[in-house]
Amino acid sequence: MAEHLGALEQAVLLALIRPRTDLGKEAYGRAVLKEVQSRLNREISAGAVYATLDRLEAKGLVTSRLGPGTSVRGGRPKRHYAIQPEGIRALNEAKAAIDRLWAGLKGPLKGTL
Amino acid sequence: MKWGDFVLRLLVRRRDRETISGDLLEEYREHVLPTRGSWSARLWYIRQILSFVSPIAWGLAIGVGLGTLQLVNTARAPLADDDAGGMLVMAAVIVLLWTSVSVATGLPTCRFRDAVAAGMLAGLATMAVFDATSILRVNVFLDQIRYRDDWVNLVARFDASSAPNLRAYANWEYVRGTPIVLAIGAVAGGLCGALAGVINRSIGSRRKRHEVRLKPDTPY
Repeated sequence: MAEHLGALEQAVLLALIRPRTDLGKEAYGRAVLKEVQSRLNREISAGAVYATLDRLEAKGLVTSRLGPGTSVRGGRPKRHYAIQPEGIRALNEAKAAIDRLWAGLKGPLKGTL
Repeated sequence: MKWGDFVLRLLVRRRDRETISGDLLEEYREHVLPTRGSWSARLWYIRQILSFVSPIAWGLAIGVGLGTLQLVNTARAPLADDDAGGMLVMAAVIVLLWTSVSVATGLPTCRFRDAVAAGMLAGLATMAVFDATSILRVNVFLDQIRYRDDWVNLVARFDASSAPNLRAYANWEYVRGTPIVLAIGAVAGGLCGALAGVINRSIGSRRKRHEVRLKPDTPY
């Protein structure tokens, strides 16, 4: 059974599946942060996203490698992230769990509770 | 923002120092500064740095503040009774700080247990430092505070004991009370975290309401 994923973990992994952000195809920290913010439609702190990336890497769901820096970064390197097969498996399980919960219902729901 | 960069480097792992500071610098220069202006951009940068501070670090910082205040107050007036009003204000400030730390930590996920865990860690760290400074206070100011009204019972217990001296006895009593102090910190912090969890859920559901518009009085 794959890892149980929280909402932010899913958002970060999905950002790595879809790295075509306004920064290009580079899935480095800043690009992932912007993609997550754009998908969730709210401001997420950098600390939360980097902590999530760290956690996902520790779980073996993503890997990272260093890339060259640019002048606007003061020459500091970029850390590029890539999703691993275990990460894709965990995402599929998370989606399947949600789909099971929603089976037979069509969203958006209407009515009062 | 050199000082900000320095603080950030203290807060993140050695492995990520260059890359994270580079990411923030890039966002600051390319997007935040041109769109928000100088002051707002500086605030943004400070907020990003603060987001790397863990609940434990916040708890330690609160504990250092609290402990320093206690040491300064004791140095100024060693025999003065604790003022009930002052204690109440201090307790309210601590509750507010623990709750704020828990809100900030738990908000990205909106998970109740994340906020409770953050509150417990902050409470535990605060009380660990505060307990250490209390023991330090006993050892530094023993000759003065032994005559405080709230030390009468401790001195009476020492007289009835076979302890070699008051310093050793007072240290032993304070160290013996440490697990209780830590437990109080964890429970009180956890309660603040629970309050933060409720606040975060309310913020989370308000966000969702913006995203999904339910139509009332219409059947499924």
